[in-house]
This record gives sequence, C-alpha cells and structure tokens, in this order.
Amino acid sequence: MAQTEILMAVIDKGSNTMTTYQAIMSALTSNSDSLTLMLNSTTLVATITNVVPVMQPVRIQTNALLATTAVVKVYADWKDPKKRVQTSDLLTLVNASGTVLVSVLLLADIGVEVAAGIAAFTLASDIQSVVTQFASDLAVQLSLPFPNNFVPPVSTAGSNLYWSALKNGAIGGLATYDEIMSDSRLFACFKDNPGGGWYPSYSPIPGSITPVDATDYVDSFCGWAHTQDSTHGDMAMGFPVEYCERTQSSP
Amino acid sequence: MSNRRSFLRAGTAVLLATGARSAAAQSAPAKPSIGGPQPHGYQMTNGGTALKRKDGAWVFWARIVNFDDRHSDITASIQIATDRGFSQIVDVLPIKLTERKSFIDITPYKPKVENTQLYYRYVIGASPETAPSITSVVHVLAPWDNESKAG
Repeated sequence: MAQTEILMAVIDKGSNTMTTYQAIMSALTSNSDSLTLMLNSTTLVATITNVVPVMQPVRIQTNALLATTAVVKVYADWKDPKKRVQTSDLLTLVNASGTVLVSVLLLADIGVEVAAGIAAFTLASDIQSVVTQFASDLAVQLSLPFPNNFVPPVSTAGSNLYWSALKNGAIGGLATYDEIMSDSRLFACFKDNPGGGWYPSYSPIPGSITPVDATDYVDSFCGWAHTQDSTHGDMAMGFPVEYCERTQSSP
Repeated sequence: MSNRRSFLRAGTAVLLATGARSAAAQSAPAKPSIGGPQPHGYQMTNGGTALKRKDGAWVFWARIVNFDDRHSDITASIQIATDRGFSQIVDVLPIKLTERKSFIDITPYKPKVENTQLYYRYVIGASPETAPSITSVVHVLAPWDNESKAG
C-alpha cells in the first residue's frame, strides 16, 4: 500500500457544531473501527490511517443554510498506487459500523503523489444539493489563508489556527485564538453574495466543533468596540461600532 | 490497524514535545475568554517539528509570532549542528516570516551528511539571545526516522 496525504474540507450542517467531523475523529481514535474511502459505493480505494486538523472550523451563514467547515489533513493507505481518482468521481467515506457516511466531492485529482491545495470536500449527504453549486467557489476561498508554498508533507504539530479577519473587516491570514481575542477580535466566516456565490466575511463568533454562546461573543466584542470608540474618536465611523449598531437593536 | 496505532503513538510524542494540547481539546471556549495577561515577545505557536519527504529532504514547518509587533516581517534562521550544544554548526538556513503568509515558514532541506543524527533549532535575528525560549527548543533529525524528535 502507498501512503498519501490529502487536504480535505469537511462541511457539516449547523452553525457551530460539527457532528460528522467529530464522528470521523472518534472513529479514528477507537481501536475497533476503521475508516475507508469507497469509489462509487463499490470499490475500496484507500484505508484512512489518520486525520489531523489543519484549520479550526469556519462558519457558513447564508440564507439557504447554516453550516461549519473545517480543513483537515487525511493520511490514506492507497490500495492500488496506480489508481487515480478524478474530478467528479464520487467517493464515500465509510467506517465499519456505518455511522460515518459522507460523500467526497472531488475538485482535484487525488492519488499517490497527487494532492495539492484543498483537494477534496466531504459533505454530509443532507446538505449536498445546497453546497455542490458553491463547491468550486469554496475551494478557491478556503485556500486563501494558506501560504503559497503549501507543499506536502504538511506538518501541523500543535495546530489550532483560525482564519482571522482584521479590525476593519478585511480578511487576514491564519492566527491562534489568543491572537484574535487580544488583537483583531474577528473570525472569518462565509456569507451570501447578492450577485451569487459565497464570499469570506467576518464575525466575532468563532467557528467551533462544540457549541459556543454566540450572544456572549457578540456582547464581548461590542463591549470592546465601545471602549475603543471612547478612546479613539476617529473609530466612531469605523467597522466595529457600525457592526454592533446593526446587530444589536437594543442599546 | 497496527499501522494506524503506531502512527498515533508517533503523533502523541510530537504533541507532548511541543507542549500542545490534544487536537480535540482545541475547540473554541463556549464563552469568550481572554486568558491571563497579554502575551509578549516571540512565540512559536505551531510546528517546530520537521517531516521527511520521500526524496530524503526534511521539511521544516513553523509559525513564529512577535506579539509586540504583529505586522513586521521576522528574520530568523534554522541552525543545524552535529551536537546538542551547537558547537559544530554544519548549516544555517535563513528564513523570513511574513504577515502575508501568516508567519508560517516551510523550508525543505537535504542534509549534506547522511547517516548522522543532526540537531536543529530556530534562532530569531542575529543571536540566540533575542528569543531564548524559542532557541532552547532543540529537535533531532535521525536518518532512520520520518519525523523529528525532541532532542
């Protein structure tokens, strides 16, 4: 068997929970379960040996759905090294007991020696019809925060990186939770574009694999924005105050 | 199956070496928390370990942040030596961490001397005194391993 690494985006329904993602993770740490990649539900393509989180979840807040996506690195034992999986092939990620069953929507060729950038999307089947049309859009957007020379193998020891946004709402690079909370105070998320597609926007609420208290995060952010406003008068017209006035109707 | 467990064992060793918590515990706190005093100075938030590529080259991966100045480039280098005390430095790889790349550096390096254990550390600026906490972390590249170990 040949080892390969794939960078994968897992998309889960729900604003800040990732049940499919957590099920994949727990399947890997259990001793009796195994994860495999199936092609067209019949052919065994690869056995997955490990999944490592690369980027912490990003929220998707649109009119059509609320979802969360996280980027993970998947290590797979390729059954046949010559076998290549091409764009539009439908892969299924399945475990022994069948509790994790997601489709992999392919955007790039995957095979031994072939996995560059975000190579694949895994989706829970219930959101497939909604997300599929935005898949190519998301692939470009999700590769934005990564450095250009993102060459395999990707070492991610100690990784807990969020996609951050700057104080003025511009999308920045990757940052740790402490950095964002003590400086820029904003997390990237995806929103609807009136002209079609999804675009990266900003939110004080982090994407998370466990439920977070959205109200508390907004309150904390707006409290901070208020103190900034009183010390720097010129920020009154800026982004944070405007955001808080728009989202918090009551004073 | 035994294949996977051996991999997880290796992963745990790396996590312990870099002092990071397990991946599952790294989700955002349920309520916002800005823990303790504001962080200061240089910190290696991620990485530090190196992985061996199939062609035999080692890929160094690290993210170093200066909490006192989060926008300027950081000039650093990777020192590679044959002893843990760094008295015999065999190579110095200059690296530059920029905001545009989220202060992440990925540098491939193929050792000139094979079949030897090599030690490496990150040095900020010109001298190891600039950021002693980062410099003090030393890793070992062993020819028979695919992943660097804490030295």
